[in-house]
Amino acid sequence: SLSVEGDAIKVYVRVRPPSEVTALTDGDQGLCLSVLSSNTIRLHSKPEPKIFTFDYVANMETTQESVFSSVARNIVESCMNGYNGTIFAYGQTGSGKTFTMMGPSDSDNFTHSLRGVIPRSFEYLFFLIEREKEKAGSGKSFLCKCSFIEIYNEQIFDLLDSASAGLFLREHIKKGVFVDGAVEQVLSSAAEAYQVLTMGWRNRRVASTSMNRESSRSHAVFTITVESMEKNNDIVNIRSSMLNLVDLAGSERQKDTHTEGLRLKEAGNINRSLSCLGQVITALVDVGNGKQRHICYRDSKLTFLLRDSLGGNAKTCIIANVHPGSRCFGETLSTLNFAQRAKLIKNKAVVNEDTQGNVS
Amino acid sequence: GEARVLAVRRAVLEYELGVNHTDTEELSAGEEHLQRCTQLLEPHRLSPDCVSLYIQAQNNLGILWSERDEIKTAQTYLESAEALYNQYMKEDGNPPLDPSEHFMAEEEKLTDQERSKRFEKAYTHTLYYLAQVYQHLEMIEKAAQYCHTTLKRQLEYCGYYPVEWALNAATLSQYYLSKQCFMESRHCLAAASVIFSQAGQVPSAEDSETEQDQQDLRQRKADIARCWIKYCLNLLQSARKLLEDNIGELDPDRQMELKAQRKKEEDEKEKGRKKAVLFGTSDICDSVLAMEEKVSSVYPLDFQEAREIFLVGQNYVQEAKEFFQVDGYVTDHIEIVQDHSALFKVLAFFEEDYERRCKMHKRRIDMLEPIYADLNPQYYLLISRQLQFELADTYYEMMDLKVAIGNRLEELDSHTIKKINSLAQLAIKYYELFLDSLRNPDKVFPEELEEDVLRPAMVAKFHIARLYGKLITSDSKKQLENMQTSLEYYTFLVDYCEKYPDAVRAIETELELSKEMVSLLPTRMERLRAKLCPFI
Repeated sequence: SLSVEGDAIKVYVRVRPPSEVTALTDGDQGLCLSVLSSNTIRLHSKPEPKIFTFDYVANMETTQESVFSSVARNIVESCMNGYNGTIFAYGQTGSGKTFTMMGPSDSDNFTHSLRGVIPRSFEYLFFLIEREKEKAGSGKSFLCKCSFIEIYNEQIFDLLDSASAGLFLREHIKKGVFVDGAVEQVLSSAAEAYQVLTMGWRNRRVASTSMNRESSRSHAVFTITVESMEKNNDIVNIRSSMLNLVDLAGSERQKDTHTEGLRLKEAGNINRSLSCLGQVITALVDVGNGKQRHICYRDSKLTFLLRDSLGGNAKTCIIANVHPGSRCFGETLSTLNFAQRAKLIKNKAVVNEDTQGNVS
Repeated sequence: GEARVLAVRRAVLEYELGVNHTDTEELSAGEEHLQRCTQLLEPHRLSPDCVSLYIQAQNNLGILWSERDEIKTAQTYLESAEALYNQYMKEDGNPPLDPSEHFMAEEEKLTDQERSKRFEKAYTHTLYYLAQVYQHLEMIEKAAQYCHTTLKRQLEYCGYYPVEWALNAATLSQYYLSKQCFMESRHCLAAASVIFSQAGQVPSAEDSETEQDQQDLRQRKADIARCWIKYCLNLLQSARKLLEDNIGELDPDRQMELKAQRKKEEDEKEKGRKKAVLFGTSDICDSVLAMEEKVSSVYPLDFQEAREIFLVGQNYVQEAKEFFQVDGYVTDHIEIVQDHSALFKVLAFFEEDYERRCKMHKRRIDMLEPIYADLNPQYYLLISRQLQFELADTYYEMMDLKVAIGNRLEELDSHTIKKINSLAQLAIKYYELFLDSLRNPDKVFPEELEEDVLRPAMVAKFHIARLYGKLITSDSKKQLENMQTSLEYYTFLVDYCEKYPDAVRAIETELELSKEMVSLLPTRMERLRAKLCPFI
């Protein structure tokens, strides 16, 4: 039914083809999983194989176009209808995240036939905007802006302004969560959006070499804000929504965290310093009745920024990328487990309700 | 003799190699070296030159096994380190050699004071790791106890950053709250406040205290204030639970009984206090105790006692709001306002005078309504729903109070009737807004409700049904209409539960009453209709 569809996070898994070396040396025996259907996957674990079910599983043959259609089309559409949307890419380094999201790394991705989800989303978004404009005539106008930030070690960097450092998250009662001081660039076409994205991507790589930031340890969030203004006689109707495209840190960096959901902190389950005692205590309090308590430790920057996408008023999907090689078994298992958990994240409407004394 | 010295030195080397390997994620090699280290030390592990090294080797084996996800194995190493420390302290207790000293020249060797400091630190780490191990094994109580002890030792051996320590203690207080251990909770909070105030006094090492640091400090202070708010709130709410009768009113018999019981228990409490783990040595301890005296840790049993706790809570609300302003911290700010509202709500329970009680609820409305009006539900759907529901409930409660006040009068005057009706209408308005928030983008109400909104949605429907039944009108036609609407809402509940029997569990009482009303209302309406048109 419609209501169920709206809230839960959708989880897609994509299996990349094994690299040529793996294919040649290991043959079919070298694979740790098989795709059973368009939503189930079998992991050849021992002693029993394990079956995982997701909203959609793309096998090695699935085209970029079909990944885009199943994953992103719907989200871009609801963005046009005023709802926020988020697409996460998750997976171990080398599992095909960049290929899925951006496309082949060597060429001009924006026109390449193998271009990924992001360029296709841009195209589709601006296609829809143009169509709306034609339909509504002069009565309706659009304004698109984008920002591109990186979260590394709980610090926020602006990828569109390499001179800036250490931005802060703030909230506005009408606009929600935003990065204070982040550069916002106005966009007029899909090509322009792609240009800004690639420029930011380049900055990210520069930062990772010059400032010792490892991009596999950082999250990158590209956000497009779509504002539409419609004039009907004297009434002006303004709608605004956001499309977040998130490249999460490589999942191999999280192998030690026993976190649930998307708490991606760089901490082992046992740390050598005492500094994570707070986390332990926080975990103890979580077990309690959960209502009347205050935890001094804020969510991570990423979950705070995307709180709305993680169980809020938004359409969200996660693309979990896996490598089928048997050498990646451990990583693949943890990615699939993570993806399975992500399905449980839902809009938790905790309504303070007092049941006593009202019935009589 | 010579052989023993060599064996111990080899053990130090094995230890260093082991740590080096585990640091570089070579777990198997690391394990081998660490094992060899403990084997070499085994016969001498209780002697002053080996005990510290042995404990540290076991700490590292604990870490190593936890990295392999074998928490149980990690536990055995850490618990044996803990036991060894205790045995050594009992049998010897002199400051033992630090592992780094085995290759030091005589003149470089550490002082007893330094030795003791390092040894205690290694043991503190053992306890800290055990806290994590117990947490992973879901031995929550034990984990909390080890966290508490770790904090205590950090304080004793001066191994702490005041802000961090204070936050940890404040967080621990919230654990105790969830266990209804108010004395322990207050102790943690008082210690947090005392230690935090040290942070403000000590000028930071460099003079370049940035504005960001100041900002952080102010936020941490506000965070601790929020923990205090929760403390006051929980204490009041728990007391209310103890004192209320089956319709949610203060039960005077119960009140008397509890007051008598408290008198008896006061001495026992004093004994219990000595058993609890107290923070700090004399100076700090005195400050902590002074801080504790500002608010009670026993259940308030009457309005006066409740009010004192309420006022403390309200002061912390002001303090927390100074930092968490709505511009910039929407979610936090609203949470604090919600707590403030909850403080008023629970205080109202202790208030006997209905008019004054009503005014307290009006205060809640005044703080919640403007925030709700500004809030954009596209980004704050959850909070928006919470506010809708709370506003609805508050109006509902006020209406009930006005009805009760009205019932004492000889006859309902028009002013009271107006008031009752307008409160009921406002309650309906907010319940409907809440129900509307559940609709999908095409404005359709969901066929089947999600589990997390099932109960609130059903309660909203049920309350709306009741509210229509309470609206007062002299116009019989209007009355009939209201009854009809009421019936529709009751019917929704009954039908829904028939279709989705799983829902019954969530709203048993409401369903029972709804069924009753569904069978009663049509007869009543029939009677009313007959009165309206007696000749048909």
